[in-house]
Amino acid sequence: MNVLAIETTAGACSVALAGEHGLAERFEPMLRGQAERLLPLTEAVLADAGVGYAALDLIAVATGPGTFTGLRVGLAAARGLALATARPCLGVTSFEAVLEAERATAQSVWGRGEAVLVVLDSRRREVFAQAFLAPDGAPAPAVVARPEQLAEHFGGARAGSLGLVVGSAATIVGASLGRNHGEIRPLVTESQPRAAAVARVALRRWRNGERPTRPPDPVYLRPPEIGGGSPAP
Amino acid sequence: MFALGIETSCDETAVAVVSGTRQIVAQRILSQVDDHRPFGGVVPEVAARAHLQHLDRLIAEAMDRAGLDFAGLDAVAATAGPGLIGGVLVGVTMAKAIAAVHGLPFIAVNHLEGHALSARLSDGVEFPYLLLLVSGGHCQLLIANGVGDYRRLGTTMDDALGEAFDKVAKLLGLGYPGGPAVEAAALGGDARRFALPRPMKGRSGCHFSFSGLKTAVKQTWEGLSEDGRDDRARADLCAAFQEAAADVLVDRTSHALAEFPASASRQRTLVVAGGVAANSYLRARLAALAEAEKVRLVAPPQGLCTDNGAMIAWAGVERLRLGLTDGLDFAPRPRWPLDPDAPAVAFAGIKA
Repeated sequence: MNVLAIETTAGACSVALAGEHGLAERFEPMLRGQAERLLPLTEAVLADAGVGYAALDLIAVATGPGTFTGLRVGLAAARGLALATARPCLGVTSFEAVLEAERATAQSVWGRGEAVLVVLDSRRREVFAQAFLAPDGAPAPAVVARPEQLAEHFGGARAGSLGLVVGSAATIVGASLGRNHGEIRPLVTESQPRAAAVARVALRRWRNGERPTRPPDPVYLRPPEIGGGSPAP
Repeated sequence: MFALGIETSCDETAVAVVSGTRQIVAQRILSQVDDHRPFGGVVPEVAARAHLQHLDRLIAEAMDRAGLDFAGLDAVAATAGPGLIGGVLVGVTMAKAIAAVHGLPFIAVNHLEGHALSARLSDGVEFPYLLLLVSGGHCQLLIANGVGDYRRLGTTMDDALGEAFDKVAKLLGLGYPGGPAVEAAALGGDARRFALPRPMKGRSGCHFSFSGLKTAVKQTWEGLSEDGRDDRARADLCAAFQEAAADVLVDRTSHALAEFPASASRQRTLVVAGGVAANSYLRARLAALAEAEKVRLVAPPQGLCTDNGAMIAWAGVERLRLGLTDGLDFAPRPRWPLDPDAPAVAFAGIKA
């Protein structure tokens, strides 16, 4: 089972191959330019692992939320690779990918009956946030909210039992919780989604029997900006 | 030889397979007009989202109709600029992915070159020819000497002509997109009722300006009484606008013809391409000019004038033949002039 995974939603470009031969990953931080680097990185990862496109079984991709342009580049590549290899494509949200990297810590948090909150930088005053209340089972719906609104969003009682805040906005959210809700003292871990984590989540879901029937959709969480419209180019 | 062409630089998601023998083997075009209509114009983020949503399915459908698998292709070409970068990134990235998997050359096509070469796909026109490129984003006169070899004679200094059509349509409440709406309204109109300016007409050179014409339409319309702003006035004003625009196009093109020397051996060719070239009235006026100047006029069929995948696939064929392929690291270019040596024109910006 070879999974090729792509992550471009959060100020970086990474590609991973998880398979029989272990894990190969390439990661480059970049705010833009993923469209130039993504396919060359993919070729490099395949070469590292000595694997060709024909040996892939599954394509996985981080679907966001994140930068609109970044996540579209990742999804366009993944959906193109899936089409050209005639393989299924599985979408993993950026929340899931971040959570995966902290899975060991999260397990002990859940073991104490506490929740994990994943918070991602949205480059505005709000952050993207999603709470995971148990190792399995559906997470709470994702929201776009200001850090100081988050405790309210997840309810007083639940926020009181918040054991871990993780993600690219963790420091900001942790500081806000400290100011406004001194009684909540979660672990705070700054972390970004990476392709290796996307691959692991996809592999686990595949082994649990998940079979995507259509290509994954992006997770924008924000409506398109209309602005003043634009003259037809 | 078969090339897959992908076009996602504006509001059409378009895909085609074209052969080296100038056959459009298959094509799929999805217009986003309904997505953008509520906003009265193309919204870049809305366009980018729609391209991603539909492109892989349209490629699969085009390949299916062509009866080809990817391994049967010789190249994958995609519009890599100029245009709305969000959509361009989707098309370029998906094209690169397909090319990578099957070890095919990836070809980054300049959208304007797609238009420029469309007459060679439809009519097998030989170089050199004079090209009038009129679209929603551009209005240029160029001499096409060869693939990748263009000399710009003139460009708009403000609005593109298609843009002026869209703005006039919006102003008169004719909806979006404006080109077909204005053309339809003008059919029953009297062009002589309203006097409109002919910007740049009679001036030396080949540059265009349409901003003043659009403003004159606005002032004329707003100068009418409320009762006077009826369908009759709408039709008359559209006809007057269209006639003024045609007068300017004909005047500028005749100047360009003077700069495009005749050769003793063969008749000169004028190619008109781009979305505005789908306008029948403008085509007729240019045909009259061509006849008077004893020039052959070639206007590709309307479906090849508006944005389409076939012209991108064809540009891919032309570039592949010359070995002009691109790497998987190609960076899309939101600005990408056909003639990089042409002097800058004030206010023209991306349209030059």
